[in-house]
Amino acid sequence: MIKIKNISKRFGKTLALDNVSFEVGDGEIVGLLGENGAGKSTLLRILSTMLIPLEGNAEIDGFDLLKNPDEVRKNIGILFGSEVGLYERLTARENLEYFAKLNGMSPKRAAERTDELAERFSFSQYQNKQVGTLSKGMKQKVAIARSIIHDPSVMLFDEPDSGLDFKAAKTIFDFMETCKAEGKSIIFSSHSMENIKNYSDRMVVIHKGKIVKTFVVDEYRQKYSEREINDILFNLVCGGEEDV
Amino acid sequence: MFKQAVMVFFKEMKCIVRDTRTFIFGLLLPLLLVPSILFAVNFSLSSFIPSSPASMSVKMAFSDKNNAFYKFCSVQSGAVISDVKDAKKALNSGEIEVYVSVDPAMDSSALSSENFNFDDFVKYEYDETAMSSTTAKSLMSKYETNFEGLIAGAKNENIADTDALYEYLNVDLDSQIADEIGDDFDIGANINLICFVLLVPSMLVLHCGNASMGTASELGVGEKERGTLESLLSTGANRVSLVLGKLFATTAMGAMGGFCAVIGLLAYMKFMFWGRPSQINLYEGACLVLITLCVSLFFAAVNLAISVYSKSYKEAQTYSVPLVLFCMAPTFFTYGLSPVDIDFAKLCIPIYNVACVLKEIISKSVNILHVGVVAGWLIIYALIAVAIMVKLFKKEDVIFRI
Repeated sequence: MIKIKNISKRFGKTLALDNVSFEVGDGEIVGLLGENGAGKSTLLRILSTMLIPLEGNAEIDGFDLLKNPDEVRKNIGILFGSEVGLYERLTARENLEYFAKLNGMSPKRAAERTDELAERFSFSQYQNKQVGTLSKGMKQKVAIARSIIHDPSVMLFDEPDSGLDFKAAKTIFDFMETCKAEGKSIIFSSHSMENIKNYSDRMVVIHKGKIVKTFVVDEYRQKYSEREINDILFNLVCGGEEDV
Repeated sequence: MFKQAVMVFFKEMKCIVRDTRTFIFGLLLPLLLVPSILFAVNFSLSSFIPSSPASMSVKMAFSDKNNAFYKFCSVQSGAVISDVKDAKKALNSGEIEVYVSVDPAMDSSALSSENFNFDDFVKYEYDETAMSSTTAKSLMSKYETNFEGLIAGAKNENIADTDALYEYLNVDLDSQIADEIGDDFDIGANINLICFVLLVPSMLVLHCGNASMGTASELGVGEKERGTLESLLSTGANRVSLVLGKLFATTAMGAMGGFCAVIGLLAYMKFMFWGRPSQINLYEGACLVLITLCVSLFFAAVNLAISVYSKSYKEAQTYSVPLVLFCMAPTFFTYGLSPVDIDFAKLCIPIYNVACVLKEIISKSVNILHVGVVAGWLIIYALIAVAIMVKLFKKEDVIFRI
């Protein structure tokens, strides 16, 4: 469960986030849609405790973001699309075990969890190869495993489809669906309307740091055609009104 | 926290060592650079520096042979006098190293004048671009001094005519000096020691700084450029332990660079340079290791702080390279310093104090209190840099600086 309450963030004179509030339930996927620089990554960085909000707060699985950042980090997994966030000179296995231990797991448990994830994402036979020698798709699988090595209850995906070919992006979205089935709370940001529409339960449209619209995707699908939804989203993303 | 720092250290070392080419090159450079420089210097020096004073010689020619200075030089064993028609051509071809022009009025003036000035009567021509020629010119001043001494003696003995003066000057001072010094005196071994004392501090500082610079850039700003920083910061790891792990790895690389530089220098001294190694005993060796580790810790902390602050690898190098080169400067100020002149105030000046204490170690006059003071200062500087680095590592506008 994620509860975001009135979060604002400023970088110098720029107001990156302006009083942002919404909630994400267990087993729910919320898509953050916005242009580049709209504030999507800033919000995800705040939720992962890398940035501190100017105002407001959030709760991740009952833990206060500002008061218990260590507990929050133990409960979140974060995945980036364009960057796999892995060390190229370590093997896939060493990467996973390293991140597991940094998250406080014992060496024995880290090894067991690595075996489990290597099996699940079908890279057991490549686990002892240095990540730098793996294909992009294989790296993406290892990156996914890295993000859930500590079995978090909340997943944050920062533009997971960015810079990926269809096959690699599909791997990530399938994984997102699996996380949803496991009851995890998920936020994913993107500037692709199609992916947001296809994979999220609810959509939050953000423009210049401000939420301009929050809606349930299926409800819109019942009311409007795909083309009309696209027009609405296009207007909202560009800061316009919800005209059809 | 310390357990996590150790884990980060081992992981970083694994990554560094697996970058085989960079790792080997990083250690080979300090290992081979110093011997290469010394080999080149030795090669060029060996053509005109003799192995002992007895074999010192100057190839010279005179404008006129009918004077006291010619008569004096002609009996010196180190003076090789030739007859030349064209002085300039002979200097350029290396046939002679110095051409001596003597005023015919010199001898009478030397015996009669109260204020005889050698320089008023003798002029030298030499090739300023040739090291052998400039060295020969400076050796001529030795003949000048001896000649002036003998002239003063001749006056005391009331020698008034030139024939008697020529007879008086007929003494080979070069052989006498060589006999007095004896066969044990080895110019090569002395230059060996001078080079060792001069080069160790600057080379140690350069290579500790240089080796830690590359590693610091890789482990600091490299994380930002590779996109691994966010993955790292979103783990449950304490940021101080991340910083400490990186600091230990950078220090280890800096120390390895420093040790390689000293090993290269020692190996060269032992096997190539006039065949006499500079002996360092276990106690001096332990002090050298301690100071090397502290210098590496200092550079690691400073370079990592720079690296964490920088937004790109290039920016980090832009700050670190001049810093390391600038840090070499204080070591040169100790070239003329005697170990007995090292006081507490000198031991408080950053980097200069390192050169001071290294000078003591190499000169076999180790003062353990001085070693402790310098190590203490280096640790204090490093702690200040670590505190800045930790602060920077927690500042979001530095971590996500665009």
